[in-house]
Amino acid sequence: MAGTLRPPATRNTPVPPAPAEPADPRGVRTNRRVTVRTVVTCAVPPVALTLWLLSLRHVHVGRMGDLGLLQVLPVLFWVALGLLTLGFVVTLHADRLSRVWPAVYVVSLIAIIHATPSILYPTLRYSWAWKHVDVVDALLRNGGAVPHPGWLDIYNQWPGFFAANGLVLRLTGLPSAMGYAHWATPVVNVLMIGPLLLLYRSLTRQRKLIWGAVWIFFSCSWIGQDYFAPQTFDFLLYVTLIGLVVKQLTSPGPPRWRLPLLGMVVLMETVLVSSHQLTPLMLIVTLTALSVPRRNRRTVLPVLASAVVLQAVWFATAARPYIAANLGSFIKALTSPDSNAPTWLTGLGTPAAGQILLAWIDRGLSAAVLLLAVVALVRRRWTRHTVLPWLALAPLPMPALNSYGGEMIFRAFMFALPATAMLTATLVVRVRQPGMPRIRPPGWLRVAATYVLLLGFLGGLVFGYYGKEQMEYFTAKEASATSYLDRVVPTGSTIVSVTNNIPNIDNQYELHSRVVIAWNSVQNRRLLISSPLAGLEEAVALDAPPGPVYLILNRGQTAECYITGVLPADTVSRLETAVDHSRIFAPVYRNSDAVVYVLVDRSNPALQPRPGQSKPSQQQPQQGGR
Amino acid sequence: MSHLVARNSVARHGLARYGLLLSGWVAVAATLLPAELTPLRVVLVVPFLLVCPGAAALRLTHPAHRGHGPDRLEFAVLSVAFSVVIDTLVAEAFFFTHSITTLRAVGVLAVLTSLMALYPLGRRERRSGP
Repeated sequence: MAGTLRPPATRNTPVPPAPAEPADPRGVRTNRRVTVRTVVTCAVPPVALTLWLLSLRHVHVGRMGDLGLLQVLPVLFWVALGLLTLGFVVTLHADRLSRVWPAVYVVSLIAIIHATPSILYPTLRYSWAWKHVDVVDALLRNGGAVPHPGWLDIYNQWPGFFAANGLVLRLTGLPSAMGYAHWATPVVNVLMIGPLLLLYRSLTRQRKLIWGAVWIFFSCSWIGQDYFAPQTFDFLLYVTLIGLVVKQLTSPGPPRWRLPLLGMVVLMETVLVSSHQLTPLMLIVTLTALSVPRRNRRTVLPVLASAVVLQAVWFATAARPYIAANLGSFIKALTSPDSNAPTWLTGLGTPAAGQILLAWIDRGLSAAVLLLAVVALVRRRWTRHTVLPWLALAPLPMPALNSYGGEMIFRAFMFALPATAMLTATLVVRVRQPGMPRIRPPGWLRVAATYVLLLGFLGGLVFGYYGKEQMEYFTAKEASATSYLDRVVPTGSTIVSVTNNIPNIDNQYELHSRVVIAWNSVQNRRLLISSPLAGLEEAVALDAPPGPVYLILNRGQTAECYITGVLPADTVSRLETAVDHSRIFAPVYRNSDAVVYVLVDRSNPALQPRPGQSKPSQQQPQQGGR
Repeated sequence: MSHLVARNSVARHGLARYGLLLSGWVAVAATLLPAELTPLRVVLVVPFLLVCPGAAALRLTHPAHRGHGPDRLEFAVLSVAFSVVIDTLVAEAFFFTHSITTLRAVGVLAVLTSLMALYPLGRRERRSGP
């Protein structure tokens, strides 16, 4: 991609609006066509939304397999999505673009893609979202930094998102963030429209191009970092801040910041720096890339300098314990380019067959978007004179610097997506430059090609976004098991599990310890596979401090082993059978989706704590890992 | 005619300014409502948290905007973004010092919003407004 970049020759000026189109002289026939288009434009969203809601009536999420929701959503759902896309393509290629309808289409798309899990699932989707709700509760309970947070100490050092939610709960009197966290994904995606428009309107005034880019962004955003999480919060602020900087770059007049606005930008950076580990680093690399063209430096350098200073200050003060503890692994990651390898290449089990297909499809979608962005830079020369190449290029080297728990490669795609979506849109929507002859209305072939391309994007998105749902949704019975655990577990207990895919397992996390065998050493995991009870005993001996010990097994852990191959798919069921036949654990709660045991006899020599052998977990996913 | 438009615009701007000033104190009053009225409290407090501190800050950062929209969209987006930034920083300050109470937090936000809403802008900036 770098090879296609050329230093822009002119200042970052937005593309001027296209001259007004002369009226079409072909009278009645044209009028009829316009009327049909208008009717189609207005009718499609309500029809598609109705079909979508009807399609959700008889969906059985319990039947999801290794392709998640794709296997249980009925044909009507896909008809609704296809119809909405068709309506959008027709709207986009109309002679005149309505001011309202593109927004209606995009919001409808967000509803269909992102509100579906919220409607279908009985509990909060995604174990990390439960964890973040638990962190907000813990922060509120303690009135500040949580004492004895265990492996969740990272949240004490980047508390911005949690403090903001704590403030909302305090001021509204709501008992927990659980209620609104359930709807966070569709709401966050709707909120993202604003920052995207702020960014895109700084680059061009051609509304077809802007809305085409917005649609493509939401059609390709398969990474799933849009739930109740600090990275979601920071990404919204990141796009807003980049939008502000680009607007400043493209505004007429001197490239100087007004002092109050620069002050507010610095405050935004402070929140970014104090809320998430990765986003400020992405901001710094993006601002560095934007400052490469000399003409941008007067605008970008003050923002870049303040971001670097704030990041350094944060690392040296509030985040110092985490940085000091993990500096070695950061440096090690620099020399381990293979650390971005997915779980299905590093786990001890075999992932579900559908997951291999899914991995190829979502990586194919990412590669296609990047490739189309390169094609756009070649074919649409005006894009080279904007900030788009810099915005698209900046995050791409990040995977070489740190794996971020195998996530970095996806995050780099996500941070580049606002720019790559706009570049791709320039191939779909032709922009009339001043001095260019009038662009002919698109023929049916072009409309059809656009439709196929957008359907292809959505096809890739649904594989990446819905394909892991078997492990990302939880039943009410699983949530009941952890509620039971909360009621009975005394302070100072240890809760053991095979994986961490359990809803609400971190409620009151400051009061008990956690042992997750999937994060333990390879030796311990191999022992668990060969002899489940011996593997469990070793994990307890190595990691559980003296005190009561509970074991929880649930459907979500089985699903995670099956889907990701982190451990063989039958690990949880074999452990359950082994524990049922042992005398050292006794079941205290059981339903069809979960079981809780308590350790009743720790006198067995195999269970005695082994001081000095306890090792830090090396495989804990980073904050909000997916 | 243009004189009338200008007067209307100034009146509208003044109204928005005093609306912002009032919003914080309405939120303060809302936090004093009893637990049974939590839904009303949510309705009064959430819009304040989401929009008002940022909208007041926009008077200072974008004095030429002040409710008229070179860019209504920009005004809306930045109001929310700036509000979230101000709310988060206030929350972090209280959480880092373990000193959060409902009344303190909402009081600080109300005072900040009022100060920014009432901050006198220079004559040149006033002229460039609506």
